[in-house]
Amino acid sequence: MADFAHGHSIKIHGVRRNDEIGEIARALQIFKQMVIQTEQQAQLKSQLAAISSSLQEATNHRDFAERLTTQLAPLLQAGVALFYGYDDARRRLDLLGSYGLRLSNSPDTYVPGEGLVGQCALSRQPIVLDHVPENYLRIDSASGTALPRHVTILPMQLRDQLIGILEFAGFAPLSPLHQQLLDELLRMAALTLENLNRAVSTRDLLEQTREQADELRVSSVTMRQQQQALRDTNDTLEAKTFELEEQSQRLMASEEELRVQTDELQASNEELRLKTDTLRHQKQQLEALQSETSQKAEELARASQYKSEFLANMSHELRTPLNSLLILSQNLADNREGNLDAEQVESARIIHDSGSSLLRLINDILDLSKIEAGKMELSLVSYSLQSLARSLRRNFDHVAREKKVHYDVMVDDDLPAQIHTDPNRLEQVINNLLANAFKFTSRGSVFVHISRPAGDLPLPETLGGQALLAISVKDSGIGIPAEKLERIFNAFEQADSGTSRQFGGTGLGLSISRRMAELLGGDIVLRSEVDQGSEFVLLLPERSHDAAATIGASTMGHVSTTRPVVRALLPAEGVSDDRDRIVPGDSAILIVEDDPSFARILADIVRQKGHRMLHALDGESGLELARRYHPIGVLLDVMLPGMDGWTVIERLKADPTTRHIPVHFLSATDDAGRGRELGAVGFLTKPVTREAINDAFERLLHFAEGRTRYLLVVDDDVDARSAVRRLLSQDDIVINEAGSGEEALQKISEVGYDCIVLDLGLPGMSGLDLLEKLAESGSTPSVVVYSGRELSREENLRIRQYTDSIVIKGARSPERLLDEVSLFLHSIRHTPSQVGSTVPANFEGLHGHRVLLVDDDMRNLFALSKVLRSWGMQVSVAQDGHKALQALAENPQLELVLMDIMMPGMDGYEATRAIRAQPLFGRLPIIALTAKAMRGDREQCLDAGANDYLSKPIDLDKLASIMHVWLRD
Amino acid sequence: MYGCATDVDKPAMNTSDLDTIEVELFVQALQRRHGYDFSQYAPASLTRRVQQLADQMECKTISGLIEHVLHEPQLLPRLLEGLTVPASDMFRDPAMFRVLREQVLPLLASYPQINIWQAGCAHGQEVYSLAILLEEAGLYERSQIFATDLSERALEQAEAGIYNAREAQQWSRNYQASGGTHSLADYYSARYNLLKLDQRLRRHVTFARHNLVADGVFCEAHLILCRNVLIYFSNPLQDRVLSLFRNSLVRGGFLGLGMRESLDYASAAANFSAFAEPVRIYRLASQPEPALS
Repeated sequence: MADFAHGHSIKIHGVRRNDEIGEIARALQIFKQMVIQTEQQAQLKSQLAAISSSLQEATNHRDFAERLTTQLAPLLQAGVALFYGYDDARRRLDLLGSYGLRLSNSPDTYVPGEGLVGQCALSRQPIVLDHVPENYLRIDSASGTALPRHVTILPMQLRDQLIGILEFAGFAPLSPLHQQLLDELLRMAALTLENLNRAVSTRDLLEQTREQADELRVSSVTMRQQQQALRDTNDTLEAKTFELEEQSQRLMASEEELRVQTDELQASNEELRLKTDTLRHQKQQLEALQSETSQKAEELARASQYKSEFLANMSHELRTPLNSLLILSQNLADNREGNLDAEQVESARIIHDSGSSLLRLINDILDLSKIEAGKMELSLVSYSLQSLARSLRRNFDHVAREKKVHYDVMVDDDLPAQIHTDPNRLEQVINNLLANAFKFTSRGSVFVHISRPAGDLPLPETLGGQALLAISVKDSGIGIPAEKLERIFNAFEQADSGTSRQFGGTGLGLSISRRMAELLGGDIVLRSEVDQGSEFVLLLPERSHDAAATIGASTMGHVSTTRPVVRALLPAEGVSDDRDRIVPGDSAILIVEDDPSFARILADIVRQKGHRMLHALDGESGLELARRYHPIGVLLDVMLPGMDGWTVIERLKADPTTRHIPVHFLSATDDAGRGRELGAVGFLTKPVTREAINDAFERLLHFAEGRTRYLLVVDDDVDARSAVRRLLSQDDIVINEAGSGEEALQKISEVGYDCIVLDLGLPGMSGLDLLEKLAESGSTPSVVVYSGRELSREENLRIRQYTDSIVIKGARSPERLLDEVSLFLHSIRHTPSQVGSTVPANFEGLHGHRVLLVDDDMRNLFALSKVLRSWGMQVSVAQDGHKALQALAENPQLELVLMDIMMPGMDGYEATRAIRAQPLFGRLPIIALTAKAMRGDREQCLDAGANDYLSKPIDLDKLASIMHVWLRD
Repeated sequence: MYGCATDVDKPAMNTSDLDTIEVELFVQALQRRHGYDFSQYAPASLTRRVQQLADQMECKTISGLIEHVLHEPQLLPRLLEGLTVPASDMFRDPAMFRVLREQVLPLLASYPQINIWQAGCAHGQEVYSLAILLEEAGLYERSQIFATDLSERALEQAEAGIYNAREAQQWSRNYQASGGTHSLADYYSARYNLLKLDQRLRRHVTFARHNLVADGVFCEAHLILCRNVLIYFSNPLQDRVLSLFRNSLVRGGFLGLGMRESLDYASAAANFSAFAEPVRIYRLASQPEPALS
């Protein structure tokens, strides 16, 4: 069979025979034909399969076309085969593969309708040409070229879509078998091509995608690089900007500072300029006033001199006629001739008396004018005091007898026998004083006492530094009211304008006396009480100098100079003070108080406390006493007759010799602020209790200088004790030492120490134990803890309950120790400013309640806990949030928390939240104590879980009411 | 006809008067909206800073800024930062720090616990400087620094302790001039162009907001540093702040001011005496004023 199929050589004979053989031969022939056909079919199929599988291996269109044409052409015995692929998108046919074609022979592309290929594409019908024109494509081989006889052009389609054109050219027409082959092949090839198309396009897509991916990758890398670059630039820029901003901010700040400074400078410049202007203005005014004043003074002096000269001249002119008038009237009154009747004699006597009065007046005026004109001359000689006394007795004994007034002259023994003075002027002065005394004394006595000046006598400053005599003329007459005292020495003045009518006199006597006393280098001072009498004291130096010229000149210079005030110094009835009993070493307290009964109470207290008492009824004498006796303290009333208390303290503070004396006010007025400004150590408002007075005394004494202070040094180390002793040693401090706590307690019970310097590390009882013991006993003296080691926060807290003076030993600690100790010894501790000292109206309801106080400010912690304890509350303290939580954990009975907000470590907000986080304390009242005053800050307290808040400094009334509210449940 | 005066006839108001009105309104707005009272700040410098703020926030006028104040509460920190002038250096004015180191700290060493209040700490440079001083004096373990400022933003920066590394050189020179015996570099680490201070220095520092205008005493202080703050305050406000300091300080406590500030004319200064006047360090009298009942 196979031979049939392959062996064309098998020849069947007898086909044309009409016999059986022929039939068989024909049948055989047919069979052979069939075999051949079958064989051909099989071959076809296998070729088809081969081509098909080959085609399927094609990887691209050209490959496909090459495979198709290359394999198909030999099979179809075609000399040339071409395959055009149809590009639907471009509507174009591209030559993709060929067989046996010279490359230049055929165009590479066609568009549909162009040429036969195009035609075929358009018509989708096979085109078969049997007689190819001459110039048609040629079949070309190495051995020659020939025109093909047959050309077949076939469309390749799939589902009516043209996908390509296949052209064959050969020398023989296509056999049916070839036809069949082509038919099947084309379908199959079309499918394959489509698949290939898909594969290619997929691959293209893939490729594209990959390319894109690559591109993407590349661009992303680029981008990343760019980004990096950008970021770098950005960073640099940012850094630059930051720097610039910072620089500009810095510049702005320093510019701001500079500007502000300039502003301030300008402002102070302006202020200075204004002040300078004002000063210049004032200076000008002052200068103008001054020159005006000196002009006036000159005019006055001149006028006064003219007046004096005029008076001197006039007196002289008056005296001359008066002289004869007196002599003649005296003669007439004598009536030696006896030719006048009684009435006429009386008239003559009146004429004489009046003339005498006129003469005295003229003499006085003359004397005065002489003195004022500087023409009074002194003749200084030694003069015996005894002869002065004799002369005084002699001159006034008869007057005394006449007026039935007791009169005596006394000379002390401790005086010199002789003094250097002008006897006439001296007697003139004393006679004048005596004449006055007798004039105004109708009963009682007149005494002259020559002695040294008494201690309580206010000495005019000009007389300081020389040996003085006091010649006192004292009467029990009508006295002089205080308001007249100053004017009594003025010329033509008498205490009462009615006085002259009753008592006579020119009113010039005292004025002249004083001028003469001055001329003699002395002065006259006066003390007087209405209805009690007066005392004029002539103060006279033992040796007078001929100072007439200078006094005259100076008198000329300021004619109207006012005299220093002469004061009433007679002690008021009731309170007699100790001025006469004061001896060196005594401490005296001065009471300036015009209410005698209150003064007496104060006096008793002062004396009970072992001090001498000085009393003044008014400011002026108070000042005098302070200057004279240097009391260690002054209790001062504000409302005083004359100079008030404000002025007194101002004067005291202005005088270097009295500035240091502490002053405590006791007054019905309430102006503690002004008292403080003026430098008082305290201010007590009347009415007062005895306790308050005692406190005031304590305060006064605390500031008083010169009191001996007691200091105890407690340290187990002898060297340390003596080092402290050396450091603190002062005249008025007594320093005791104790080597142990026990010894210290013993000593403290014996002596009231002003201050204790305490080392903590003691054998036996520790320093802290000692502090606790002292606190228990109720009377804690001021303690300075002087510790050789640093203290933990807890130790610090414990010690701070008793004292806030803690000094840690170190290079610079001695000076602080000195500060702290002198603070205790010489001043009063003040209560912390953050806590007022008022007692709230209603704190009974707080009694017994347990409160936790949390604050890192120890001043506040202790001041407040002291107040709370005084309200009967049980107080626990904690220094910060952590300690507060710990305290609550240890003591769940606590009923209320007072929580400071700004604390180191855990602050108040945090602590409050932490407390609230515990179910046990969900309803525990927490009151925030905050130094912050702004709305938001307060809300923050409440947000953290506080029930309420209070602003620092704490108002105790508010604190009490808030605690009332929250402790009610 | 006879002329009659109308509003139109009024002379135009000049700019500085307008400024005054606007700044007053701004201050009022800030006070009523947020509770911060700047009315006692020195007017000239306040005006400049308000104007600056307006420029920064691109407002044409201060009135425009007022709108922000009223309607954008979140801007408050920025406003506060702009109104205060936070700028300082470490060991700024080394001579002052030298006095602190050589004269003040040895005296403070006699207290068992040392509280220091840095009022107006700005960005914290001086807080860290103080911490270094205390550390080197061996006192830091019993010290507590309260660093307060009005501006929350400034406090955040202060707490972070991060500064531009460019400053390091100047600061090192300051540190040496203040008598420092180590190297400032021992206290910071520098990376990139920033330097961060050793956070251990912060262990005894409490940062807190405190407004000197309104808030009260919150601690017992042995030393208060308030440098270049008072110059921005009017005299009454300066007096308030000084009495706040006086009430905070222990007797014998110290107060340090800026080089351009002085207690010379302040009425609340009576209790202070000059301790080192050239570097503006003052001391509260150790004897309290007489107490009055």
